[in-house]
Amino acid sequence: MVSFFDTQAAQVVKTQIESVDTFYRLIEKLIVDAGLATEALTIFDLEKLILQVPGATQEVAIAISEFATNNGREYISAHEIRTRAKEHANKMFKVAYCSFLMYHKKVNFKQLVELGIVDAPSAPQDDSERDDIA
Amino acid sequence: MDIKGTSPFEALQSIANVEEAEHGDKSVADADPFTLSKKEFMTGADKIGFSEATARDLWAAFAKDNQGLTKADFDVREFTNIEEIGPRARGLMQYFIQLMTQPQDQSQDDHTADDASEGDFDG
Repeated sequence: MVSFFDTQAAQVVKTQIESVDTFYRLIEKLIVDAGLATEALTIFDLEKLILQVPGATQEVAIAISEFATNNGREYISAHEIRTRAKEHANKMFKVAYCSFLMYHKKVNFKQLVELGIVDAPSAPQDDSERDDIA
Repeated sequence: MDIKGTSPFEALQSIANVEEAEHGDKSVADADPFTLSKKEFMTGADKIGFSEATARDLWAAFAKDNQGLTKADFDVREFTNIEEIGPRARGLMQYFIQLMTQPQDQSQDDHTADDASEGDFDG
């Protein structure tokens, strides 16, 4: 019986979780070092902090702020960044584990949808409509 | 294969279908494949190189209680956007880590350089 931890996916997940951990710790450190540890920040506040990092461009600051705050929640804080890190690692592991089940344990996408673990794909109505029109 | 707008699971299903068609069905269905005990997790995490403390922290974040993970824990709906777990997101994180941890120019008297040393982020 193959265990998830015997697969290459487990090593990949480990590397990814370590990256996630480092990434969010660095964001948290930026906030704490700016003396804003207990403040509620907007995504624009975070962008300004990231722009202070040597080499960071406006585009990078925007993209990283959006990503770190889960696509721009109204307010974020150092504490929420920690929560987001755990949430991200959690999901990464579980996505990989579900993928492992699909590949090694004969669980299929339909079952994942039926269990409510993933959303059902939206119907490809556009293509058929286009075909009808054509 | 075009996977734009496709969840990673749909993409994986496509790959699994091809594998099965080409090589036959080699897998055996488990009674409840979604069950993962804490013991199995801790042993596995140790095997792939996580410290015991990190494994404990991860388990605390992954499991709602101290029992095993079950299918109720495997709700990944919010995270099945391939953009979010895909290469772009990983690239973005790596780029930011690189910016924050790269050695700074000595002529640049910037206080953020020392602050971002890697040693502060262990554990």
